[in-house]
Amino acid sequence: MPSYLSNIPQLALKEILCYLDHKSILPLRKTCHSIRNSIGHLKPDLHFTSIHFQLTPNNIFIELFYKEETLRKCVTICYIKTESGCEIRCGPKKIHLENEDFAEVALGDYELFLTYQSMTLNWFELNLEYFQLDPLADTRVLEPIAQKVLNRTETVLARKDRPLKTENFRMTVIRQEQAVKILKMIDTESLKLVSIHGKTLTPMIRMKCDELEKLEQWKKAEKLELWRFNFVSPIEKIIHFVEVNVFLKMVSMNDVLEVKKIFLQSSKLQKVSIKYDYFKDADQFIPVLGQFQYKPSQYGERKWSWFYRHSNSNHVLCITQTSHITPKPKYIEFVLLKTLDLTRAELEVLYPYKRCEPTLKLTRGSSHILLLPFIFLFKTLDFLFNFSFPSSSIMNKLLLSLLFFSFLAIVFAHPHHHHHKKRGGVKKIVKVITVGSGKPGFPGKRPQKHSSSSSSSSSSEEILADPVTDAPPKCDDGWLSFKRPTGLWCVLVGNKGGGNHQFSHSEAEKICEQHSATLTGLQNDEERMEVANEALHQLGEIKIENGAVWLGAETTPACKQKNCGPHDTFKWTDGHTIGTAGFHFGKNEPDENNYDGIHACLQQIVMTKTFKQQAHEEWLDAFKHGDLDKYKCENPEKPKTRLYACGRKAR
Amino acid sequence: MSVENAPVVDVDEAAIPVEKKMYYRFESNDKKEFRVSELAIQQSETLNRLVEAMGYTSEDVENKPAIAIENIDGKTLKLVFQWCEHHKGEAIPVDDGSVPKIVEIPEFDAKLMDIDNGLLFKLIWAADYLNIVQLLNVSCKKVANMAQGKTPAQLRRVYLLPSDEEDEAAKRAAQEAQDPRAREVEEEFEERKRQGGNSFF
Repeated sequence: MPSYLSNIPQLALKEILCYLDHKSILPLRKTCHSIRNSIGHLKPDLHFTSIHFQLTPNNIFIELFYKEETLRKCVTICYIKTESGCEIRCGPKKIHLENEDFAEVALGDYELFLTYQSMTLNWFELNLEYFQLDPLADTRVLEPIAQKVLNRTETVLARKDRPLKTENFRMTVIRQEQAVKILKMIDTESLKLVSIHGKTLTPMIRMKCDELEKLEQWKKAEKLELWRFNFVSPIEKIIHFVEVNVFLKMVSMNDVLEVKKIFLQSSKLQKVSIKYDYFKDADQFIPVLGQFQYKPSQYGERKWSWFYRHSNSNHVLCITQTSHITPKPKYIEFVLLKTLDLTRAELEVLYPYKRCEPTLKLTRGSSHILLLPFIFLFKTLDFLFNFSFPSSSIMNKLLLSLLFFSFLAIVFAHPHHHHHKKRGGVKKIVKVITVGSGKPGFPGKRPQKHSSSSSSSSSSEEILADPVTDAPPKCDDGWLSFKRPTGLWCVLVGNKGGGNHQFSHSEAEKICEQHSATLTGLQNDEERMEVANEALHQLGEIKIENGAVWLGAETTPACKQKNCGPHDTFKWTDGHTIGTAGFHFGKNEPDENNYDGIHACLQQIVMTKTFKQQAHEEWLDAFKHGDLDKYKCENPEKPKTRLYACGRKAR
Repeated sequence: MSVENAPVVDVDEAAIPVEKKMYYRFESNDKKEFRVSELAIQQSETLNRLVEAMGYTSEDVENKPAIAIENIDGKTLKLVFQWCEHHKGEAIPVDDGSVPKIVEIPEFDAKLMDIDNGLLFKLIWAADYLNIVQLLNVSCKKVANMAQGKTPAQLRRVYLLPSDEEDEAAKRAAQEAQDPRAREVEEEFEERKRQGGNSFF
């Protein structure tokens, strides 16, 4: 009887197998012994792109990724420990093996996958999940199995003709030696990322990585990701990486300074990111790191940035501390920036002296000169409300003194400024603003190109001489950016300038005018929620849990009293917002009240999740955070605290 | 068998200048004779070396007996030489070991290989023996395509593979013939069976 495939020469069989992936090769192994022998001998690549192995006390998961045409696909095999043996699940297939140990069965298959793998993997992951539910009990169960897994994996990798190639290597371990055991078997040439997630019973403990850093694999990799390992000092440890990500329960100023030192010495480091839950001595930030830039961003994040000149003169080290309104881990990022890419505001922090010149020019228009004291007042208030730093006590003192000082400065500087432009005084004021200004956004604030006449020869002159010109339109710092089909739309949410945060719709409109903007409409739910969340975030900073945002909409003449439905009662007034997708009202809204005035106004209700239960304000039951409400335009009481959402086209 | 009666592969006359045209004569194991151009022979590393070593002149080719290829029958050899004539002058691909290997089957090759599996496997065998890299590529690719999405039982039918029981019976027969090599193989595959026996795959 002819037996086609088992009779053909090895070379031809090898050739045939190289066109096949696991979906054909694994069934082929099951056809007959001779083919299985040949395949076992040829070790054809199964065309996996990533191999993940995860061990938990009672399960093992093997995830195998592969490409089909252009799609990325994944097959997961689950080995479950049962009373009498082991159950294996793979997609809809399920088999039970009596008296078999789940780890042994899984390792048998894992060995096959690793042995056959010859292509460079995208990811190799081996996660030993010691602490799934009950750390102590789990550890007891897991320890012998983990040992078996590591030993077997090491043996299999050692037996390969060529070391296993992978670009990204990740392990979850409880001891350094576990990671060393496997990482040392990996091919050094293809390796790009080494990622070791350490788990410890006491999260505060940092593991040593002295053995890991001796490995060639560590030295050759470009990126490093380390959890719960002590990663700083001595410097040589991470200086050769391009990117380093670290996660720790607690960090200290000492860590920050060490990384800064390493960063400024390294010719390779581009980025170091430290995520953390607690900062041990956050009050040291300002005293140690000095002048900074503060930026609340649209996603409920607040950022403080410091800038340092790098040994490479075209680059600047930017240290940014970011915290969230939600209890996410905070992080500090060290990023190497090209000096040319810095924004104006960032350059001003790096080169504080150059600040006063352009600012004077900007405010020199006659109408602005008259507004100047008010602007300073706004800015100072803005500064006060916007600004809250983790290290409260020192910062509060600093704030108060700055506030006091700026008031004095306004009072004294104003007449001079108005008539003679006395520079000294202005310089100081402007500097105060630099430190605190979270929300710039004055009309015409974007600087004109100014020449470096003073020939002070510093490189900052050159840098400043070519500020953002011809750049695509974008929103100023502190403004939300909405990409609309009609162009980029910028929205400033705030509650400053309205005296005790209580102001009518028309007063809000006036504040917007000062920003060359108008009360904004909402194009869709995304915009609606982003405005609401930004408003809530700002309320959070003044410890208020409920407020309302004035929006740019009014009732149509026919529907001032009558409810014409959610989409037709109001129309947007900002001249840019179109459509009705942003109209999402609370229950029984728009209401049928006949409010005073020629039309009714639109407010957006903003509140924290817990506010309703505490407040016992019945009217609020109809609203969720972010819902819209028809309301009178003047003398609003419900709720008392007001915000505005001003919109304008990006410039 | 005389030269005149031999089945001769069609050759595109226009492709090669007349004066440089050099043919070789080959004979299959069932005594069918083929005339193949020098350029077409270059596709086969094995034959190319052979004719280089022989250093035949045009007269030698006509006067000496045809070169015998003892392992390949006429039906298969015809396909091989048809393929070589069609692809003559093309560069021979170098296997750089990159996986997955990407091979397209051209229309001519697809038509040529529109044959029963028995002949297709003979063609692979011949391509391997004669070391015709690109023919081996496309024929193996065709066989590989046949495996897509098949269960082990279907694969056995497609590739005419024995079941495990038949396989074992064959091994036993070989062992009984006291071939020491068979015992070795037997041991090896018993070992494999043990390793793979409790596996999901």
